[in-house]
Amino acid sequence: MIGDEDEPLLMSAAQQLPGRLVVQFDFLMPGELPSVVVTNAAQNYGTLAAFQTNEYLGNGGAACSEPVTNPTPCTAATFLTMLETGIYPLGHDSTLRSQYIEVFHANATAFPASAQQAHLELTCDYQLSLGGQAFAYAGGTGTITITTGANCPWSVGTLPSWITLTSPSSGVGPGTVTYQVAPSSMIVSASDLSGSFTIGDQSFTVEQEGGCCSSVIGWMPHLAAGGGWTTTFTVVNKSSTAGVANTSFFAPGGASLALPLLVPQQPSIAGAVLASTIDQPIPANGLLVLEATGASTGAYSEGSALLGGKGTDLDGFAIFHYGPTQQEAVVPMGSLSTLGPGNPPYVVAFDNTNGVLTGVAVENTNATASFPVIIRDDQGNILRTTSISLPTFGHTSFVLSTMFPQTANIRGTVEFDNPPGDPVFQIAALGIRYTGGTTTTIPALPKLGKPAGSMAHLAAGNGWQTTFVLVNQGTGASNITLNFYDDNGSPLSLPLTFPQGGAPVTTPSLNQSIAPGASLWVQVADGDTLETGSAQLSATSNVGGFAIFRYNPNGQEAVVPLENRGAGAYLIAYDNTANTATGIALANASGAPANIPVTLRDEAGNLLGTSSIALNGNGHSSFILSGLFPQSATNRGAVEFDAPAGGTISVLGIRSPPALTFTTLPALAK
Amino acid sequence: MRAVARLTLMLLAASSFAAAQSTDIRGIYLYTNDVSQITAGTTNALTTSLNVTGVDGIAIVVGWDAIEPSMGQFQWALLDQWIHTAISGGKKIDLAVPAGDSTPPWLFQPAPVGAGATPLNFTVSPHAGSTGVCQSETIAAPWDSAFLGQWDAMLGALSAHLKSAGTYNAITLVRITGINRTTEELRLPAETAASTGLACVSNSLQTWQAAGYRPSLLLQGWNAVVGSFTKSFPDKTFVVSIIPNDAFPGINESGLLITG
Repeated sequence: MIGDEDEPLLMSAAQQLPGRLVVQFDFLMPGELPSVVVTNAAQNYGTLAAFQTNEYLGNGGAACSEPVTNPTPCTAATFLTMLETGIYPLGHDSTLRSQYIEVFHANATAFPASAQQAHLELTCDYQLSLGGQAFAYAGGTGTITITTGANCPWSVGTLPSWITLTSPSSGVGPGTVTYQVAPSSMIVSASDLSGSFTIGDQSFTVEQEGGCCSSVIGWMPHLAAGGGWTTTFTVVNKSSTAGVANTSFFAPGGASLALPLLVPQQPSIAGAVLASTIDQPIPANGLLVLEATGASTGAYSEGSALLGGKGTDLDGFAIFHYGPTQQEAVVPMGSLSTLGPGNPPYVVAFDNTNGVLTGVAVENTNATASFPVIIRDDQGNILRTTSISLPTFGHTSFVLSTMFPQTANIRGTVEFDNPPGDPVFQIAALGIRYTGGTTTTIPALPKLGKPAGSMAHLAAGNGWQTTFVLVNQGTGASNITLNFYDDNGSPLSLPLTFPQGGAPVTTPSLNQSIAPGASLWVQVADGDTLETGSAQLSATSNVGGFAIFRYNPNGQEAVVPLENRGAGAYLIAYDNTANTATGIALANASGAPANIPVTLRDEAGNLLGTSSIALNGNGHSSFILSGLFPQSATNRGAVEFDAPAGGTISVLGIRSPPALTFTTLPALAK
Repeated sequence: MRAVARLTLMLLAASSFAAAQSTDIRGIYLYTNDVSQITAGTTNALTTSLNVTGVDGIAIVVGWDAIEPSMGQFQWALLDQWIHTAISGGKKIDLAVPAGDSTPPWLFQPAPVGAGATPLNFTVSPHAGSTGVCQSETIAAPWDSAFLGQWDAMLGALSAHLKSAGTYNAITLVRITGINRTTEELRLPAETAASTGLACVSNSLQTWQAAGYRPSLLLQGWNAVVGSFTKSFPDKTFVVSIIPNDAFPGINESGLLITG
């Protein structure tokens, strides 16, 4: 180590001169590491490291190593080697890349070609159009565009054996590199492949899916990328076995859709990876994050995604984000594991009154088919029956009132059925509610509703407002009871209004009858005092639903799904990076008090902490996750809430970015 | 609170860095000895090297005694000449004004011709004695208030001159100097006859002990030096040259020699 003696002085100067101090010292000998002090100064204060590439010996001239009594003479080769060492002091680690080199003047004269090369290496910036590309097992060709100065040389480093270069391996100035990836059946291993090579000082990663064994886990019926949109996919491994997640993207016509993907958990992949399908390892109990960005042209792309996996229990969701307004909405994953076997149609409840618009996205998860569509008003009357044809893996999205004008200015439901007699689970759907510039997901309700459920959170008063939406999915009238409870589990009397008509009422328990196919909208009025708690539903036949809570000062909304899965545990995947906070609401849907175990893990599946939350019977708690677990601040991971023996809980996650455009995080059943 | 403080620090670092980065410091800089001491042949060689394709800049090293031969009387001609040579060649400039053995004698003379600093006399040998050369020098302790006051005044005059000459903006980097031995590197005499194997080398440790050397006093002086640089060159990127080992006398905070 060198420079440690200077630690107090160096660190003091670095603190006084953040970002504008260059630390200069003699060249590094082979195997010699820079001081930890220098490294820390670089990382904490933006200090740059610089290197003197030769030892000046006064009247004796210059040498290329100590001791001065027996120095290595400088030659062009040793000079260049030292320059390389100086440029990349930490094995090409760009965080300490030297951008400033001091050379004894005689060396510059003696080795002008080396000096020129070093100059170019120091001052040339290289940018690749992508950080990498992923291929399906069939392989394919790829193109990389190199952006650099006109006189800057570049070359392609050693390629993995399964990649063949189909363009010149070096050049000067801006250029293009093309390559071919062999089909995985032509190579020895059928497992996933990953490799990288360098161009200039940049690294490019290529991944290729192995030839077998990925099984379908679920579908996300919408994605948007480009034109200001990004979609972030979060995949959670619910098992204690590491696995591989396969995410594939499809254009509306069903063809593979190649998207630039950022992999924030892999800093080694510097830029976006272009992929229409990508395999990524996912650790036991960990999670995987992929961000689909726009094409380099800035063009807008939309479509759908399919999640597959190998040898593990995966679940997940997507969040699409519109940069100009910072609005976000979640795309829950439709899956056989969460819905159970069968052939469930989806129902999207809509409210197109008062200027609200409803967007709908539908994905065909199987072979080409025509899907029946039934539109009902909020009384259950059928307004229209029609169908939507979609090719294999096809996708469509539309504004409901544009596609079906009879839905304008009313409330109701739109039902997407599977083709008659088709035994295969085939359609996935999503609703999006647009209210005055804000965006909220409306969960598509599988027509497998149950006669009971709970909603983990309600908020009313002091700017907050909650609207409950219940849809009768049975064939006969259903009598429903909606009970409200405060945080302590006591009945909570709320002032209710009925947008569909009816006198306001203040009550802790609402009893209503809903006609078959009809929907009920119940609003809790905003008041002076904030009330929080939860709600529980019971009905005489299958009812689906959700709640929307809204913060009136900024119009932001988030949805609370009706929890009726009865799972033994629920996971909330959180991402507290980039100053984002995660809110949690937890409700005990049983009458008995419960102590609810909570387990926190990071994105690698490592256990960060455990706790428990005591709730009264029917009690409720809401909190910021980093308040309960400070170790969750600034990182990603998953928090698990276990239902007590014989009890039932419901959980809700809320993602709150700095712009306060909060979004629901779906609770993943474990 | 700690997180907030760290965030603030990072933001400060980012904003200062952005300002300093308005000038691209990257490149190959030529180095030679104090330009006031080099021969005509070396001057010609340096000028020739400056024209080599690929060379981006020059470290102009000029001793304190060369630019301020008398207290408050400055000679800028040599420095200006090298600065103009660099500018005319389109080269970046890393400016270094070392003290150490370039400390002007007047610093130790009494008023009114001098600043009255306490002289500390050493005989040192570059490269830990391996060259066999001994060299005497007189420097001030880094915490000597007379030295610090004159150093601060010199930097102020240097900055003012560069601005008045219209060359301030041509300075890419400024070397933080003032605590030096025989070069612009951050170091002090720390050798002895035993450590170098040369009888001509004085016992630096004994001299420093007699002067009351403490690591905390060194840091105090260093912070004052850094403060003077940032005051006179508030928008520049700085360089500090460090050396691997034995940069400072092995004396602890109790004034005792560090052994082992």
